[in-house]
Formats: sequence, structure tokens, C-alpha cells
Amino acid sequence: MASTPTQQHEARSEAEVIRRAQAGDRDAFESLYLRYHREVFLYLLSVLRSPQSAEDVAQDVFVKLFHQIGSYRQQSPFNHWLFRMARNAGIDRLRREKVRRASSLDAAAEDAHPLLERLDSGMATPEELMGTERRAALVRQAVSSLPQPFREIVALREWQDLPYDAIASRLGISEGTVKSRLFRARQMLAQKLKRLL
Amino acid sequence: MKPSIQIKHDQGDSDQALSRLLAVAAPEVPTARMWAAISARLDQGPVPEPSWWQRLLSEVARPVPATSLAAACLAMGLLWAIHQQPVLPHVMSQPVLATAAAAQPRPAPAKAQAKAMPAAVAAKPALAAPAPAAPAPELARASSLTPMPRDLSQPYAMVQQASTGSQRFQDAYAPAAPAGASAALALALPLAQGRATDAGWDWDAFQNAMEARNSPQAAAELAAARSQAASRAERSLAASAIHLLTQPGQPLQGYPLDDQGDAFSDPKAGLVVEQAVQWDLNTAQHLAGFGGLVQARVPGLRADGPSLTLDWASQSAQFGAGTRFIRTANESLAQVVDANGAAVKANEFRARDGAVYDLAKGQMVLH
Repeated sequence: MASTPTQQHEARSEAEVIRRAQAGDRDAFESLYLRYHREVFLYLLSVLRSPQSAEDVAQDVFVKLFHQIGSYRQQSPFNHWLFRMARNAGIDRLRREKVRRASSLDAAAEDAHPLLERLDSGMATPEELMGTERRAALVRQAVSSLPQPFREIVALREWQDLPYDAIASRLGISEGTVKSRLFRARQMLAQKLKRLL
Repeated sequence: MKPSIQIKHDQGDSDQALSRLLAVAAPEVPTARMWAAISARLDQGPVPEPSWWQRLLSEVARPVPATSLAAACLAMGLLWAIHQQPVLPHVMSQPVLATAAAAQPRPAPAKAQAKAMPAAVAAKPALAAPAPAAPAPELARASSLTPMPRDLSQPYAMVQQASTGSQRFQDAYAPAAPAGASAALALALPLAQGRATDAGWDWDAFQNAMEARNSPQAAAELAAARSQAASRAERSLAASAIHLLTQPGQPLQGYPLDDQGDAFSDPKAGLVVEQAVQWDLNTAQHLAGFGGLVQARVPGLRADGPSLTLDWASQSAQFGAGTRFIRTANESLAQVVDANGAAVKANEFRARDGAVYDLAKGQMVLH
């Protein structure tokens, strides 16, 4: 698919920003941060399911990016390179947390979503379902209760509004897989949130 | 027909409602707070935290307190005194040491031999048969050097034996170690835990072994990765780690693993880092960074530059700006092209803005 003049201009300006960041320009690095931090944070949140962990790892990713941006050689799109870095960091943290959780007696409590379970079973009261924040928290809990491949698809598509082809290339899967996973994820969410729909 | 239309209509409403719910539930991104924390960490310096490898090196370099050393010597001496008589005949019968002794018949240091053997035996270790009650010459030497408890004596004996000829293994391109020595080593090393996975080689076992200072396990992990990793870049990483870690003063000094032989006669052979002031392995990002005075080999080329990053996710190695390359004799001509794709024919050249070596294609692209 041919890129539009606007896309070409954006690509050129991003390449310039990257070059400046590689030369140690903090302002250029900050503009890269502003451009990509939301994507990195939301993706990590979908992987780690904890805002605190996602924030910690996102910080690590950007600090590493600052130190390693000199090794970026523009062989692949910058956002793919950064996303791979974020993905590896997230998986690494997840692995360590799994080890820690395995030895924790509170593991079951940490993973539980009591209100969501009550909603799922039809036991939640109308008061519990009222309020935008409350509903948003329930939806986030429902998303975080999905298996990881479905969580990341929801985060990338629904919260970052990325097109299917971009999601496919970042996750290394086909567009068809993206669509089918998103369909399944929405089915599961609809089931979990049927009382809110 | 009506029910099906009704169901479709409901489904559409439900989808839209779900989309609205998801949009409202988009998590808040702590933009300013994250940037403040990142800025603070960047202000702290160029390297925010030491890698596991740097931590390990700093711990190894830390002087051991004299009291700890004395206590360790005393404990080992006691263990040796307790086990000396029953252990020796038992260990002599072990196939590992017997094979090792046959494969590496090097004369032992005079002091160690004199301490362990009668003078007549020490003078002619190769000719004199060991007395029935005395240990074999090779074993005696290893035993006298290694007052270790029985379960540790085998690998340690191998280390000591190999280290007497460590010069032999310092050159990556020296002839391979004798087959007998490799077989003995394979028997002596523990089983490797790391294996190939869908995401590439599992380096955690090697990392854990290094962090636990378990040299035999680390050696086993590297040997397994070098021979069994699916990607050329990962095998290159293992070969580089073996070369660097078997250098004098390094944790695997003396392990006869570094037997590259004529590996570079294959034009698509991997890469070996021969020298680096510091290096770091980042398994999460599939990157190994080498810094300082980096010397590396690829088929047909020798490289000398400030840095090298081996990326086993993209099967490439990125040489730092200013790296100098020299073609090597008796190896197939390396494919070298400039940024425009034109072939570079010179025998010696410099990559002003760095270079990328594609391990899959065996091609060097200069920037």
C-alpha cells in the first residue's frame, strides 16, 4: 500500500527526530516519548494487568530506549523496534512476577475480581453498577481477566485505535488472526459485561 | 425471518454498547508522572543500573576476607583428611578421570608432583606403573592440587588439568582440543538446562548459572547453546561468550570449550567476538552489547572497532561507527557492500558510520 504525502512527511520528520535523539538531544527524545508513551503504557498494562507495574516497566523501556537509541539503524520502522523492546520487557517482568506469585499464598486473592464475578453471576446490585468510574473499572477488570493474547488485542485496537495491519505487524501475527482474536475477545467481554450492555 | 433480524439488531446494539463501554474505560496514562521519573533517571547518568554481568564481575573482583579464606581452607582440609583413604581408589576407577588422564598426558608442576608421588614415579610419570596403593600420576596431581570433597573432585580436576595448558585455548583459531579431552569434558559437565524454544534459545539457565557462580553449569549451558541453538546469531553469541569467558582470569578459564577450529572457512559461519572491554547480555531484548576495544571475526573479515551489538531477533550484528575491517587470508571472500549496494573490493576499509552484518546472508553492509 502506497503511503500518502502526509505519511511520508511524518516519516521524514520522525527520522529527523530520531537522528537528533541519537545525537543526545533530550528535547527530541521527549517528543518521541510523547508520541509513543501511550502506546507503550497501554500495551504493558494489557500484559501486566497492573498500572503500577506497567508504569515501572514503561519507565524502564524509555530509559533503555534513551541509552540504546544509538543502535537503531532504521532497518525496521522505529515503532516496531520500540514495541519489540516494550514487549520483551513486559514478558520479562511477567515471568519474574509469575515466579514471585507462585510462591505467594495470596496469589488467588491478587488475581480475583470479586465484583466482576458477582456481575458475571448476576449478583451485583444496581448500586454497584452505577457511576461512570465504577463501570469503567468493571470494564477494565473484565479486560484484564481475558487471556493475554486477547487482552493485548483489545488494548491495541480498542484503546489505541490501531489499524489491523499495524497490530498484526507488531504482534507478528496475520491480520486474520487479529480479527478473529478481537472477535473472540469481544464475545468474551460481552458475556462478562452482559448486565452493563 | 423476523426473529433472525431481531437477533442481528440486538447484536449490533450490543456491539456498539460494548465499544462505548470500552472507550469510556480506556485507562488513564500517567504521562507527566512517567516523564518526570524518566527524566530523573536519565539525569543520574548514562548507565542507570549495572547489568547482572557487571554485578557479577564486581562481586568476583571483590577481595575475599582473610578470615573467610582461612575458614574455607580449614574446612576443605578437614574434608580431605576425612575422605582421603576411601576416596582415591574410588575416584581412580571413574571413567571421566581415566579418559582425561589418557587424553591430556601433560607433565604436572614439579612441586605438585613431588608432594603427591614418590620421587621415582615423579621422575618418569609416563613409564612407571603406579604402585598398587598409590594413585595414578595424573590423578595424584589433580588430587594434590584439589583437596576437594568427593562429589566435586571430578569437574574441578578437569579445570585444573585444562588450566595447565590454558595458553592452548586462548587462541580461538588454534586446532581443536583433542577428541578425548572433549569427550571427557562432556562427561564431566553437568546436563544443560537451556534449550531451544519457540522464542529462540532459553538463556535463563546460563544467566542463572553465572549468577550462582556455577562454572561447570555455565560451561555446559554455553556448550549446549553453541551446538544446539537454532539461529546462527545465538550460536555466535554462545561462541563469543565461550571465547571471552575462557580467557585468563575469567570464570571459565581452563575449560577446553573454545575450539573454533576452521569454522570460518564456511562463508555463512557466524561471528565470534574475540575481545571486548565490557559486554552485556540482555536476554529480554535479544541483544548482546560489546563495548570498549572490540575485536571480532566473521568469515573473511577481521573487525576492530568501538562497539558491536549482536541482535539475535533480527539475526544481525551492528558494528559501531569507525570500525576497521581487514580481509583475512585463506577464507572465502566476504560479501561486503556499501550503503548503495556497490561491492567493496578493498582488502582494508573503514565503516565511517558503522556497518551491519547479516548473519543469515553472510553479508556486510557499510553505512
